[in-house]
Amino acid sequence: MKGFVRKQVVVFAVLVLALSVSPFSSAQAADAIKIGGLFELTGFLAPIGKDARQGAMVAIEQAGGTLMGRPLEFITEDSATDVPTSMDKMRKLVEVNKVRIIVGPIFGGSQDAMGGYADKMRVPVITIPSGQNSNILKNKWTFSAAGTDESNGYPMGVYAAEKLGYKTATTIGSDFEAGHEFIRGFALGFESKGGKILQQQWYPPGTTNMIPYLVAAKNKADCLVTWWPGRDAFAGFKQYQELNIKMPIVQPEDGGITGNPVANKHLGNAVVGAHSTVLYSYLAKTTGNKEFVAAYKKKYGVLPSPLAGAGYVSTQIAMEAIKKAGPDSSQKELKKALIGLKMDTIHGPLNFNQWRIATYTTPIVKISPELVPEIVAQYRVISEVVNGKIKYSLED
Amino acid sequence: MKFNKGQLLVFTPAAVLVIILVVAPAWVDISILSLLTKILIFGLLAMSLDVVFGYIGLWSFCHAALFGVAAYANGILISRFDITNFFLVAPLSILAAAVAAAFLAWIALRMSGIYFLLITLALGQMIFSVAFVWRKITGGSQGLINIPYPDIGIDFSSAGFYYFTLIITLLCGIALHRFLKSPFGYSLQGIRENETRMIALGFNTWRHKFIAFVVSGAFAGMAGILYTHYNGIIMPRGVDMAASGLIVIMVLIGGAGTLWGGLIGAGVIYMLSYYVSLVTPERWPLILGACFVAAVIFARGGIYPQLCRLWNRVITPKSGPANPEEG
Amino acid sequence: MDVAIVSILSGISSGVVLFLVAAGLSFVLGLMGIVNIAHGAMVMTGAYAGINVAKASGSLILGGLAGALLSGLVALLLERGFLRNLYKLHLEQILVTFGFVYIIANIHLWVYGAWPLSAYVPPSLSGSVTIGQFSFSVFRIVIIVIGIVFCPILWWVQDRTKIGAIIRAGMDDPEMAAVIGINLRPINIAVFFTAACIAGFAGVIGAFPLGGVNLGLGQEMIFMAIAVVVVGGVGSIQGAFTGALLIGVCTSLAGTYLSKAAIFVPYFLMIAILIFRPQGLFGKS
Repeated sequence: MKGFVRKQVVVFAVLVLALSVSPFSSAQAADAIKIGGLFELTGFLAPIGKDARQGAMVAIEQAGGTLMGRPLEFITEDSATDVPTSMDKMRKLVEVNKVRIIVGPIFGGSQDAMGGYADKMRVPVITIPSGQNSNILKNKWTFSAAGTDESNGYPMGVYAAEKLGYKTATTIGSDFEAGHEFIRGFALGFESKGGKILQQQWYPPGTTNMIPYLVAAKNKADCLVTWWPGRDAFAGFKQYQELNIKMPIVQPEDGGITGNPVANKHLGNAVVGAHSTVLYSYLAKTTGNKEFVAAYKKKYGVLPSPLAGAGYVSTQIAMEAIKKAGPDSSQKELKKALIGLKMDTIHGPLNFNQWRIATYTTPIVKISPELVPEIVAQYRVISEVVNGKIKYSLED
Repeated sequence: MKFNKGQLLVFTPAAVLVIILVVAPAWVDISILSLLTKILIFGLLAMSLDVVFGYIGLWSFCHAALFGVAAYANGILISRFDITNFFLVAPLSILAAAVAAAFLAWIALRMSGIYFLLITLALGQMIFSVAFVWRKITGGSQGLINIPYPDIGIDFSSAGFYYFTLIITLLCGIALHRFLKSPFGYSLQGIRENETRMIALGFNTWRHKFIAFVVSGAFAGMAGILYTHYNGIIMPRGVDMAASGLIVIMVLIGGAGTLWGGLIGAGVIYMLSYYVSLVTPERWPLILGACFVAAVIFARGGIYPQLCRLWNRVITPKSGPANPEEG
Repeated sequence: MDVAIVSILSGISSGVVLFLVAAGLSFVLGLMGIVNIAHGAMVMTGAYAGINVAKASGSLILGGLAGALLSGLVALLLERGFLRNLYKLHLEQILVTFGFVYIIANIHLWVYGAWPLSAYVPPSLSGSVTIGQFSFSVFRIVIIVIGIVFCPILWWVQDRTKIGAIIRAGMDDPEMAAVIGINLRPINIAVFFTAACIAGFAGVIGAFPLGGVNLGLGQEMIFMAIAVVVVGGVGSIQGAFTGALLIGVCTSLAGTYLSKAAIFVPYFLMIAILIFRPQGLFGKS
């Protein structure tokens, strides 16, 4: 019996060990300041998730690894562009790593899911970049660092009607919630200046053949409004060029592509002359941008894309808020510090309003013949919650 | 019922595992607890799949969609219609999943083998597409958010919900076990081995398969309900072909036709994904894929049967003069 | 009018690429009974490698051959290394090929990065023709021609050559074939290899109608290929061709005239065929 009991104990011990194995954070000073980062490193948002993380790392390095004299720990995890994985990683960051604030993610679905948990655990989440409407309205600890999706589309609508003189538009967008919000934002801005949307088309995400939609677009319209996230843009622009469509392209958001000089090289001259709102432009003459671009180029060898800039800013916001509230402050004080935060960033002057939506300087770019996204206009959009809906206006 | 020593020994690892799971919240941190909750939920889904996949040999690639029907029904009733009472909503959602399963079975059971696989794949994707396109009800690509913990009159903490899930999963597992060990359950295996003979013996095999599929769908639905409460949100991406494929993999890795193998498979996949991604955030899918391949080479038939074999070797007395006093 | 014409033509161009990918899958399934979930990943492997070679060398033909060869080699590795012991064990095949999909996708992420790869268009074919208000690329027309030409060639091999007869015999009745003295083993391996080569080649030339190659290509392709095999029937060139073109054109027209409905086209076709003619349009009962 004895030998047998021993075996039982061994099996039992192995099971216990297996279940209790969790990576212990390396022994660190008890007073380290911890910031968490959740980025899409695998999955369909992988290209831009990686950029965002790289931007965030530049911010951490510029801080020198310390914040207010205390060691600064930045713990990043992969959200895999997947909601359950994002939730698991967020729980780990909050409950195991004990971070005070989280930067990211990009994927709207993850943001939504995390919002409820963030509320419960009182951990501010600084999204990269913009948040979706439903998320902002319901979750009180989510901070949209780059406005809402609609607030990004809004200035493009205004610009198209006012400055480019377009009176009518037809839209093609990927059938994601974000796509609907970007294009709705454009419509709000466009119609506020007398424009009219003639037709809206939505294609199933993952479609690689845009030709059916491009040929169906009413060519009477003055412009073609497209939202092509990520890899859709590659098919979209190439096929637009192939068909020789006359309507100029106007984008309420660049999908992480048009504002990205690296991507434009792949797209070639199909993208010349297109206008787009971008989150961030490496050409913007904003505070600290030259230094950021130089540091980013030195570390990674390429110019920073819009998401890289967004990652940088969101991380800076996190650090600044902790500085303002104090490293030993409560979570509630941290939240208060964030709401009143005013910073001069590479996104221009940035501040959060009481609904936790940021106003920043939104650049509008036009792609030059040299494939450079040149800034042609800048807008600052104020987002206010009125009667459960969000209303937009421009700051003068 | 009297158990002799031999029977007790056979069940020991299972009992030990259950004890560990019950005691877990005391010494495991909450992110691991949430991982365990997820494993239990998907383990239940995998077990429901095994009823048709392993025991009948019907390769269903649409179980994530059945799971999704209940999950969406649950979410829609709670979010859109404000009906929150768990004892009202859960049965309705399970019913929805069972009806969907009946419908799918009615179409798909006309064929078998690879064609069954393909048609369930297509049907499952159709359900996913409907969820995606019907934005008014299902929330489209964004899905439904902010679903609270089940409303049964008590306040749930993370640990509380974990126990809720653990109890339901174990009860469902035991129910499925008894279902499969019943005469009806054995007839299902008979159909897998030789359907023509079963027909010759007078069984209405179509009806057996249909009933089994509906039962399987109902349990998949239970998992779907737990999932909405666990995650707080339900989106189309969690119920598409890739998700269905992953459930199949869980069953295969754990061991098809073993029922509990599904739970083991879910555990292996999620534990691996989680821990490996902590070590290499970018390369973990590669390692996961390699593990699938390794499982086929080294654990043919699934991990659960291998574990059973191992345990049997542990408890079998060594050869020699048999001593009845020895364990 | 020109809208309809361009829509249909673009559907045909997607369709012929799908045909090349699905034809291989169909024969592997019919002859070896192997469910190769990694077939879509073969397309991706050939595409990434072949396009890079084409861009570097300036020759589409070289790129196509390189892509085909690499895909074929990977398939050979998969078959000889792992699948050879799993004949008839369908579940294990699914598991192994599923694992390979993860592995191949991640290796591509590692080697090539996450950015999509744009297609290589040979400069001599970069012109266009005018159809109404639209321009239509000459290269796309050439791809349509290539696909259409491949069809009768493969059909001729299937129906009129000895090797085709042996393959069809192997599909219909492997035991009988063995009795006659036909050694199916090397035939099976050759078919598996060839199927992957064609898929890899399809990836290289198909990148253009597909708007570029990305890491999700493996998953997209395998589902569409399965849909084609279901609609067209297993083990038939004419089935693969008809199914692929049907799906391609219907999806395109649905996108133009019904926008959101486009997503349902492959499923409707699959389910309709499975209900009314389960063996597919050209499959054997």
